[in-house]
This record gives sequence, structure tokens and C-alpha cells, in this order.
Amino acid sequence: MAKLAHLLLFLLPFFSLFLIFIIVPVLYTLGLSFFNAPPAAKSLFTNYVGAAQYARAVTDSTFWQGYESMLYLTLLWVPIMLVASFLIALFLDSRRGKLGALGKVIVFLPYGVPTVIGTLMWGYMYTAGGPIYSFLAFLGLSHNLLAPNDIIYAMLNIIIWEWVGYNVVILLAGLNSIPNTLYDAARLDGASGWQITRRVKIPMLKKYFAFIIMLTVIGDQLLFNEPFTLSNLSSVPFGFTPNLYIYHVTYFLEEFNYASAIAFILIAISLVVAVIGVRYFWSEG
Amino acid sequence: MKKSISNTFTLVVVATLAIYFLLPIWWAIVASTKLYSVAFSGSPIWFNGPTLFNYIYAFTKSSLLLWLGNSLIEAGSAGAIGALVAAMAGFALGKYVFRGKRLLTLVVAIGLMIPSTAIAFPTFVLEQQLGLVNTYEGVIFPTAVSAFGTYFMTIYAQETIPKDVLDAARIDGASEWRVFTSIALRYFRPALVTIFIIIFAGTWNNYLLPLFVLRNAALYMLPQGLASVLINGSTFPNLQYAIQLSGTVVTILLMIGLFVSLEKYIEAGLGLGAVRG
Repeated sequence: MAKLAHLLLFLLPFFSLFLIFIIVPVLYTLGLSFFNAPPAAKSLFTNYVGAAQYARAVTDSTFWQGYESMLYLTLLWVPIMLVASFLIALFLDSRRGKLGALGKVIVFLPYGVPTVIGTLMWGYMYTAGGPIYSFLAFLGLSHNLLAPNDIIYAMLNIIIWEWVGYNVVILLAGLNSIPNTLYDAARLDGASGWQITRRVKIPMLKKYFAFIIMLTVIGDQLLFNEPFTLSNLSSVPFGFTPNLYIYHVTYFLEEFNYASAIAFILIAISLVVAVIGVRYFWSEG
Repeated sequence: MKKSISNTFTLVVVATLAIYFLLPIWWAIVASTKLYSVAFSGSPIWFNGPTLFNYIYAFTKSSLLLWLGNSLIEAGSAGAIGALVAAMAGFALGKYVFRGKRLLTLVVAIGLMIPSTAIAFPTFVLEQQLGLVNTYEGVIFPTAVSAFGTYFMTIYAQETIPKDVLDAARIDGASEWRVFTSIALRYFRPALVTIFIIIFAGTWNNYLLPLFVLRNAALYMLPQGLASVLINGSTFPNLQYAIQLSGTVVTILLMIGLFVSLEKYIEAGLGLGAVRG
């Protein structure tokens, strides 16, 4: 048994920061969400209203509009992301030479670019005279991706650019963890390259795909940097994503209690998705 | 014959990937050498009388350098503090036997599942009470806390630090703190780099928390500063363009340098994150 003094010495720094900056904020918001303080109130804990803020969120169409657009984005995003990262990972896994290593660095680089800056760059490239605009015009698709109706595709492209590399690295780790004996056995049975991919690689990577889907679904509802930055170049509705709406409610409506309730809903949904995902990931078979 | 076809195929695929993934970066570099007045006419992807005007203009006439400094200080401090406290906690969780260990491990696992963007607003509300709004600490402390860091360090301690070596030092009369600093930290070194980079990059890229917490332009971090120009500076398109493009290129080159030189450590972190969930 370790001595208490030693435990405190090593554990206290991390766990006190963890308590103050993760646990307390979550509980504090939960507390705030049960009040509705008038604008001039000294404390945000005035005027207890029970679950009224949650009732308001449930019927707030602007809030749900955020979930609606994110659901649509997720439906587009998940398949494209999975297929693209899987194909790139398969390719890079089969090329172990210098070119393959270079390919991995290239694909991963965008992950290191701050999302705000990535969005700014793509935003400039979408504007008239920029390369994407010119390229689309060259193809005869005189399309302005910054038009309000197309902004979701403008965002989709930015997010794929940012995250494919990260997912490729995860899938490469997965491919690496498949025992060679499985491949040998398949080859002995006369399986072709395509059959090995379908019968060995895809089933063995099932959990990695689930992990990526989980990250995508959570990341999706928390999207903020991209739509917020794009809103300077185009008209993005302030309820476009739930996090964007929280910012709006905080700074423009100045309703901290209501913002707290929405924030808590967001945390709760993220936690539920994560618990389901992690349980699946850690389960046997 | 077959081999050369396969090499050509590899080259074509890698080149295609490079065009898509490097295009914005290449575009930004080229565009940063053009004046705003000609930036959107002529070839969008090739130089046209390159000049360093934007860089000189932005670095002398705006807060760009200040924002860059703020970002380096905050990301650097968060990374250093975060990696150290994670190593300490990981050492205790991985190497000591004590009651309550399972509970603490569970707490860390829950922490892993709370996304930082979801608690940006709650953190801000709390920091208002603590007087941390508009301070470096208001960004450094929340971003330094990495549940993943502690989780990573715990596994790392279990798998790489031999118990005999620690016990030998104890028999020689070394205190626990000394055992940690002179032995454990040596084993932890690669893991410290991994966690430092992960926290550094997370803080460096963070936008939502600084947006809530830092309301004074002199304290802005780089992404926040660059984005704020778009909102406030539309009457000065030349300066706005100069700041955004030169700021973008400087940031990206810094990150590329860091990523390429430390790729091995980053992958170690991502790999473990994936394998262990």
C-alpha cells in the first residue's frame, strides 16, 4: 500500500485541475440551468424555474434546426469520411516505401492546421477569382459555394480535408494490429487481394470504423469554428449548429441560464454517444 | 515490368492526394506574396511578381506578432504543465497500489468522454466567478487538463517502467519524489513529448474557449486574432488581407515544422488512443 502523502503529492495536481476545470463547470452549468435570472440580477442563481429552461429548449425550433442541419451533414459526412479514409489507409498500408511515408505526412498535415485558419483559406479559395471558384467555372459549374444554400457543402469539404488524415492514421494502426497469420491463412486458402480486403481487413477493422463514426457524430454536433468563421464570408444562420446557437444565446441574447441548459443537453448527448461507442469498442468479439 | 507499373501508380495516387491536401497551403503561400489588389485576378495558383509587402505590413502595422506570442506562451505553458501533471498522476495510477484507484481510473475514463468544446461555455461561466476572464491562466489551465494524457501516462508507466529499478532506488534511500524525477521521468521522456504536442496543438488550435474567455484584443490568440480581422477590419481590405495571409502562412509553417519533426510521437499518441478506445 502506498503512503497517503505520496499519493497526494502525485495525484493532487492533476485531479485538482480536473475537478476545477472539468467537473465543477459541468455541475455549475447544470445548477444554472434551473434558474432564469432577470438581466439586472446580481447572481445568476435567482428566480428558480425548475426544468422550464429545458422545456423551452425542447420546443425551441432554432435549437433543433441546428440538430437538423447537423444530422444532414452527418449523413453526408460519415460515408464519405469512412470510404475516403479506408481507401487511403489501404493504399498507404500497401506502399511501405518512401513515397508511401511521404503520402502519410501529406494526408496528415491538414490536421495540424488550426481549423479557423483552414476555414479562412478555403473561404478565400471559394470566393470569385479563387482557385476553387475558377476550377468549378472551368468545369462549367459556375457555382458559388458560399451561397447560403451551398454553405453546407463548403463546410463538408473543409471538414473532410481536416479530418481524413487523422482517421487514416487510426485505420493504419488498426491494419497494423491484424496478425500476419490471418493473411497467411487466407492466402493458403487461395483468397485474392480483394477477398482478403473484404473477408479479413474490413471485419477486423469493424471497431475502428465504429470509433471513427463515434468521433464524427460527437464532433458534428459540437461544430463551431468552421460555421462561425464562414459566417463572416457568407450568411450562416445562428442556429446552424448547437454550439453556434449557445454562443448566440450567450453574447447576443445574454441569457446565460438558457445557454447553460442547452450546453448541458449537448454534454449529455455527447456522453451518451461516447458511452455507447466505448462500450462497443471495448466489448469482446 | 510489373514493379514499374506499380511504382507509377503509387506516384500518381500520392500526387493526387498531394494536390488536394496541399492545395490550400500552396494557395496561401502564393497568395501571401501578392498584393490584395491583384490577388483575385490572374492565375490563382501561381506567383505574379512576388513581394514580401504583406508580411512587412502585417508584422509592423498590426498585433500579429503579439497574437503569435500569446499563442506560443499559452500553448507552451499548457503543454508543459499538462504533460507534467499527467505524468505525475500516471506514475501514481500505474505504479502504486492503493484503495480508490479504480474509482480514479473511472473518473479519468469519464473525463475522456467529455469533449472540450462542450464545456467551453461552462468553463467560461465558472471563470467569470473566479476572475480568470481575460487572463492567460483562463486558457492555460482548462486546456492543460488532459484526461487522455493521464490515461496515456498510466498505461505507459505500467508497460515501460520496471518495478525493480524503482525498488532499487528506494532501497538506496531515495525519496519517492526523487524516484520520480530521477528515474520515472527518464522513462517517461517520449511520452512527455507525445502529450506535450497533443496539448500544445489542442491549445494552439483552440478557438471557442479563447473566444469566450479572452475579450481583450491584446490577449487574443492567433486564430482568434486572424478571424477577428475579418469581422472588424472590412474597411481596410489591404491590411486585413495582409494580416490573414501572412499570419496563416507563418502559423502553418510552424505547425508543419513541429509535426514533421515529431511525427513519430504524435502517431504513438493517436495509435494508443485508437487501440485502447
